[in-house]
Amino acid sequence: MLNPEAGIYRVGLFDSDFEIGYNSAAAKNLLDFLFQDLPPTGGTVADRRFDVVMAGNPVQMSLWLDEKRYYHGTSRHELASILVNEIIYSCIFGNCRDHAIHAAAISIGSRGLLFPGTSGSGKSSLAAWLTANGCNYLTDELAMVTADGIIQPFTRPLCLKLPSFQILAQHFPFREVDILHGASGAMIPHRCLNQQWQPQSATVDAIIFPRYVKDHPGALTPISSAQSCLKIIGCFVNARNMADHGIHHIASLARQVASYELQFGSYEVILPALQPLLADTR
Amino acid sequence: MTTLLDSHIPVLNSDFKTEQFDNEILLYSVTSTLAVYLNQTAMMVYGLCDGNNSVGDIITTLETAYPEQISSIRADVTDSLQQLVDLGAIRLSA
Repeated sequence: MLNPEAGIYRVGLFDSDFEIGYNSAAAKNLLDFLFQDLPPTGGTVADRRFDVVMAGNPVQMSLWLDEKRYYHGTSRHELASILVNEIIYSCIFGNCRDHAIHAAAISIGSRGLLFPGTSGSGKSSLAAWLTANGCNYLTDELAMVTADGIIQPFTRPLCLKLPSFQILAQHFPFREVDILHGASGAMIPHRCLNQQWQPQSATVDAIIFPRYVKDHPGALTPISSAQSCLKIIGCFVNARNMADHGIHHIASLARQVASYELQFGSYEVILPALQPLLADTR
Repeated sequence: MTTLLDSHIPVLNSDFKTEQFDNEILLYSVTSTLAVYLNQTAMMVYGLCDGNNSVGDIITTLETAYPEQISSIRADVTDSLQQLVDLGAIRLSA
């Protein structure tokens, strides 16, 4: 007998579409939560097929990639994290055209601010705070940057570590029903922080390397193009897909826009430190 | 650590490529997935490593070009060369 709740969810990313099978309304709700801002592109459908299965009471969940089970358990957060990471990996794996940069990004009009950084640098916290203060959220994890500087973001819910989420929740009391909690953190739909959100195209206008430093009062320091290039290389995820590791293109990007290092020790110091870049004067 | 002698001749490792910025240079090797940023001094030193100049020649060249900095040039050159040797971007030929 056909399951009326089962279906195929299609996620579009960087000219590719991914199919994710689901078996229940709960599973589809989770996929909506994660991927509602990544509609199908109509491009090539990837060979890899994911399946999310939820059943039982209490609910047991499984994540499958083709014939291999990637997760089985009771944590939506854990399943969601693995699925998102696998989708990202699948997108990057064969991409030799655009530059996949481990970065958060927001936009102000058509101006894109790119925040490259490795895990723990404060990217997601920055993106959350800026989004809550009127900036347009693009991503907190991965930006594909085209040769002409256009940001193609992986727009997913913001993923905050527990301490960062707890502090943010003091400023913005979230509805529990909106948040996906896990043992190590929480996923927050960006619309909870900025209901005016719209999908926007943005071009890199400045590159800011965030560095969380406990109790730091906040400082924005210009850095040279060469230093910027070196730092981006450290966040350049698909470098090995590119001729000469794509360094020439990364260098070109670093030459074209101003780069900074941002040190911050709390949410409150972010806006004053970034003020020169946030003013929509251009 | 290699002891630098004035008679050593630094030879570039052809695996390394450069990306030039205004007053800086990025040196990188695709095969060893290494990248390093060189400041202006290191950039000039690297530029003089043509396989013919010895360490002493490089020091003399820069002392002649920048006589006002003569007191610090030897240390700057040897520091820069040591950094390049450690990175594998140059080797020293006797």
